[in-house]
Amino acid sequence: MPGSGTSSFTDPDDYEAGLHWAQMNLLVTSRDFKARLTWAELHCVRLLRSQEDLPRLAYVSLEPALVFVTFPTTVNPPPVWSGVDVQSGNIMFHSRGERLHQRMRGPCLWSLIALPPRDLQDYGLALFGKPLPVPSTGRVLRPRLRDTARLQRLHAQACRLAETKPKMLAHPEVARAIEQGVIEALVNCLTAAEGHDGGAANRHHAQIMVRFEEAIAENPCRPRRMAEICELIGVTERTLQSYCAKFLGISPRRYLLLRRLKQMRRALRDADPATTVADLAQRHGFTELERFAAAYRREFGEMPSTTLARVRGSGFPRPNFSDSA
Amino acid sequence: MPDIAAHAFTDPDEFYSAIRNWVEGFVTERGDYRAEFTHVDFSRLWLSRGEESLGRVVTVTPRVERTTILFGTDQDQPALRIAGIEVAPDEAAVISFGSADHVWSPEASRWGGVSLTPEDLAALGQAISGRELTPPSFTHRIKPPASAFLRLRHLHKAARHLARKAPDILAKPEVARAMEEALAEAMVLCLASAEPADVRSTHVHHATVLRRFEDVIRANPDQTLYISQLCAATGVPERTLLACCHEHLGMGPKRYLVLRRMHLARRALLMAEPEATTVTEIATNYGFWELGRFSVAYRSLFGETPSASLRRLPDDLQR
Repeated sequence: MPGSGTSSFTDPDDYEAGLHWAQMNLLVTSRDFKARLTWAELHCVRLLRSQEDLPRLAYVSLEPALVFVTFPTTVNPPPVWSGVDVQSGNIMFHSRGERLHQRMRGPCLWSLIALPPRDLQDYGLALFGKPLPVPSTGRVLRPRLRDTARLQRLHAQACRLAETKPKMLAHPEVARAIEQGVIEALVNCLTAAEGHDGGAANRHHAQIMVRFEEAIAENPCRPRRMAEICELIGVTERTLQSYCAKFLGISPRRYLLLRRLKQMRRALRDADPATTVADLAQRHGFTELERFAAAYRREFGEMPSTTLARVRGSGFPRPNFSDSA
Repeated sequence: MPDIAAHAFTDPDEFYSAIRNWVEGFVTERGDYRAEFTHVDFSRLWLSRGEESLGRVVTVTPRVERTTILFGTDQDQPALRIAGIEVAPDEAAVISFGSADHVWSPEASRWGGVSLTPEDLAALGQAISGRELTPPSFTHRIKPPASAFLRLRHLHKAARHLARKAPDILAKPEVARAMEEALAEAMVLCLASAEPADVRSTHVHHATVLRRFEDVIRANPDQTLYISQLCAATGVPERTLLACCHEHLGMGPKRYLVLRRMHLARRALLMAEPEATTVTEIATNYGFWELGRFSVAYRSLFGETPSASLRRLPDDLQR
């Protein structure tokens, strides 16, 4: 049964959870995050559109059971996906279970299409006459202008329907009409496209960046020295520096700090009432409490203790003084 | 005694079902539809003649084993496209039995046909031209000698005139026999001395694709169909299907399928009880979700709003 929905988010964590089919580790470097997600699940195709109001960084892991195609709709400045500038009219054909860095340099509207590989293969074979292999590494494609325009238009129409008339989109024949249009446009885009993946060098850099994430993930609570991480990945600090500049637009040190601060913020929210900020900071490897508090405040606009207090205030029901309230 | 019929129609569906259920199809041009159809079944030769005021694409499926020649009746009308072949006013198409050929005319058309059974054709061919005429294995185009073709057309026109204005005269056995003999002779001469047809292998391939295309459409009389299904069923990619459809239907498969869905929706609207259903329900059942656009497209194609079709009683169709 086809379904759809739309929701608005002001919290990056909720937003991450709201993204279906993709696991996202989001870093927002400003305070007033706002995003709106619209999704539609047709018969075999799933569509998603996201409107984000702020620049952000994300490390995304795509669900391996599906094939993904993503494309930005606003490209000023163009987002950098896996180290490649994704220009207007470009689409990204992802490899199975791809992990990549997405860097949005401004407010961005981007779209996603996902479908089971089996269906893509069948439709590709029927419409194109030849198999349509999923690339082994993500590729940025530049289809003919009218093909991309058609895909974008259909995607936008479907999402508008999800926002305004979800009941109509739930009608099996409507869902089928839209799905068939999207698939046909998609196959045309994927087959007619010239593509590039930024070359062999970029592929290699993308691998290093994934290894960088793996090294961070290995022991998230213990701060590693940069030299240690570089040794784990097998690159020099200088090399990592330049890759980070290209993929993330910031230094590895700052990226690491942001990741840890984010983790800390999450820990503060989930904390039980007896915990103190100092305890938590210690546990997350922030040894110098004052420097931590200053950094935290710079990023999130409030003291860590405020976060903790606020969560306590809302998270635990207090005795009710007035039942009618 | 020949069987003579002359009718006029304002609804294409009624018209097509009147042609012995050989023809299915739809109008592709907006405007008022009017059609006139005359047919005369002599003892051996059958003659039919039609005039339609709008462009349309139809599928012709002969249900009886006969060899038919089909041609445009007027010199000044645009070429017909029969089974993907452009048939100019001085040419004719020989329709093979067992095919399902599309006949497409982009605008108003006037056409005529004569047919004989294979046995009669063989016998008459032997008697008149000294050649044995065999039924064609596929539909193709011929360019008959000008004199024979002109005679066939004149006789055809005269037969129509008699059928409409003085059927009692045409019904007289002597008149009918004389007319039939003259028509059969002209038909045989057209076939016997026609220049050989040029058939390219791509044409044969495309015709096969169109036949499978038609099979899918027939197997799903009331279901919406989309291009991926047609590609899968015909076994050709979209590009080839596009070329085939342009050749045979005068439009791409996408437009054809949208028109088909429009006609399915129209049929459902006309059949439905106005109290029991809504335009939205029927439109969405056929995959139209932009109701405003659907209304506009519907109106420009059928000349009335979808809600007017829904309210119309089935009886009104008869008029």
